[in-house]
Amino acid sequence: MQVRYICEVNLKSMRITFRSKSYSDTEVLQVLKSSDEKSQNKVIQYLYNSNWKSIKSYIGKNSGTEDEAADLFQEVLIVFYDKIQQDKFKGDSSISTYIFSIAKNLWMNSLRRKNKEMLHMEVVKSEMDSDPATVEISNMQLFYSLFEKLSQECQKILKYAYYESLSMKEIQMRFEGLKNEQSAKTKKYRCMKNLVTVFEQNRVTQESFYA
Amino acid sequence: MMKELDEDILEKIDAYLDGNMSKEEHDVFLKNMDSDEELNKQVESVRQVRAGIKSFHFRNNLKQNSKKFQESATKPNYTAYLLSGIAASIILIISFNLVFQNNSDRQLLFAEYFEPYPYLGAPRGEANLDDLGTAYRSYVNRNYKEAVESFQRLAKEQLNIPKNKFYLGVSYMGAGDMRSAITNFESILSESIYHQQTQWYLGLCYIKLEDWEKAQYYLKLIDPDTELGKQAEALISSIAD
Repeated sequence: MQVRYICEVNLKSMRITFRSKSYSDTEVLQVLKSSDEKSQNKVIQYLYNSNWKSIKSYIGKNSGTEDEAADLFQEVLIVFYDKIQQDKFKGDSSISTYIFSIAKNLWMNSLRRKNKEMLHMEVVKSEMDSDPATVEISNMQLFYSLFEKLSQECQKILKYAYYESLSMKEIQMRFEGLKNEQSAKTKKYRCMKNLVTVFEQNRVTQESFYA
Repeated sequence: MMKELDEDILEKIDAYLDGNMSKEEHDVFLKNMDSDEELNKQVESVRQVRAGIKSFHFRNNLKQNSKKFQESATKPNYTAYLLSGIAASIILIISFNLVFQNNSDRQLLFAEYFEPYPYLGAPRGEANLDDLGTAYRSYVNRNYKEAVESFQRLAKEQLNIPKNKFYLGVSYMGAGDMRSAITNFESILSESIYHQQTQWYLGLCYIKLEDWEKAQYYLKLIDPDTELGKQAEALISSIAD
């Protein structure tokens, strides 16, 4: 009958696919470079939606557990985020391919390290440790520990200045002890100077250790 | 080892990395970097520390919310379900509209084909008409409600005359009461001199009631060689389309 026929035709011709909000690679980079945490969380969710299953499956097929995959995926995103902040992601491959290759390298290194530990071998600098992502993770962990040693005030000022991109006026208004913008600026650069100095000192130490 | 940083230099490096320098300042700074390896190192170090500060807070945010991100990525996408539901509803509405549209088209068939059977002998203008006279005058004037009421007031013997029942049936149709019209028509189907016309009107009543099978049944009873039979065939093919 005509009615049924028309409905079928319409159902067949209406090819509707629904996806959660998706972003182009350029948009992902723009948002992750911005200071807008809400937008960043949406992009992180998008990165989880588009990459988590494939990475979990890869780790699962290569002797890993879901918890290990979850930890690794966080590390992957941190490395990726850091690459973006330092303009080191050139966009030669798609973000998904890039993320997957970071995950693969980190997991392979992690497996080699595990095997060495199981064989009671001495963990020394080796080919695996020179993998850029692995080195980056270890440098970041060093940095995080140094940052946490700063005073709470310095941690906050540097967070407001560099993570939230607040102006000196906004930073000064958040601290009772800072009388004006100039005093906020002085405090910010004093904190920054300390951090850069200890970072450089410890980085040299680490390089010497591996040399 | 890198030389200790001066706070003024730090401010300049920040301005350079943030793109907050004038063209002149920028050109001078680049020139200094070309000639000063130490400045180069300092810029690189500040760049890394700035990235590290962002990365530290990004990591904290990630740690706090990773479970939520992970669950959302693995759980069924309710938004998609919701949207699918909306889509399904839209399709349903469209389908419904198509059916309704189609039914409306069929309803239009009734309006297109329904014409009250002509009655030429109705009295006009008389003041003191009996119920039968009033019934036919109302019928001719297309005042079907009044016609029905007048027909119903007739004595049983008078009302049972097939001709009167036929016109009462058409009056019911004009008044929109298809069920009563059908009952009335079916009671005279076998004996009415308006036999084919009764079948025709029964067909139209069932179209109005959207009972397509019964509509076609009665319309097919009409002799196809007659003028009315040809109209019935046209009507049947319109229903089937």
